[in-house]
Amino acid sequence: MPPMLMIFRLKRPERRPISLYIPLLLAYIPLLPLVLLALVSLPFLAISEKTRQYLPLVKALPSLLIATRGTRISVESNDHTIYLYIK
Amino acid sequence: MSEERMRILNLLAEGKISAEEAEKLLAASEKAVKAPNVKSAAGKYFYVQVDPKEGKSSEKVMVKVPMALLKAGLNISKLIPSEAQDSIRESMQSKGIAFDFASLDGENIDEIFEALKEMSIDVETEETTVRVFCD
Repeated sequence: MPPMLMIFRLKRPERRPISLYIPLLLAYIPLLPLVLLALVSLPFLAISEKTRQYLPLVKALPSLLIATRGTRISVESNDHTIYLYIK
Repeated sequence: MSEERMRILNLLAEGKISAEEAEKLLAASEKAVKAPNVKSAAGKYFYVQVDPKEGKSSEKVMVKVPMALLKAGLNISKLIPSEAQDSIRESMQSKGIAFDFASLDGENIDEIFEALKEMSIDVETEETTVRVFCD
């Protein structure tokens, strides 16, 4: 299952912290037409030997997206704290 | 068609293996590509941690990446067409990095991940301490 939520937090001194819970489904929906277009064009791409070599790579890309679940990045400095979590 | 698949079909054409053996080999090679061994890496993370030394104002950075992501990346690198692999290898060699994608196979990747479990790199500078490790 691909990551469904991205949590972004920004803390700054003497300012209200910002916490964003971004449902990634909102990012996937606009990408859906592109995915459909890619699926339709796959048989045409498979005609050429040169482009056919790249098809396994394209097919494996979703696994890379799925594997990003659990990634956390945090940066703390005197001025701010940035936290990013892909859930 | 992947190189591995082509090699198996060539062995079949040359009569070195039977049709049944070829079928088994093809099924095994497809399985290896489709289902990378992510389970063994589940729950494991790769950390890059930068801590400022006392009194220094550097940023504190913590990056936690699932090992499954590294494994998926390595598995995908195997799928890069040989033509593209050659140009990547040439480009990396020109920068002094001798790395060959072709040498990466399932066993090597497992060995890399076994070694990563034990790995810990500490770099001390005047301002920061950088740690790279797995947990």
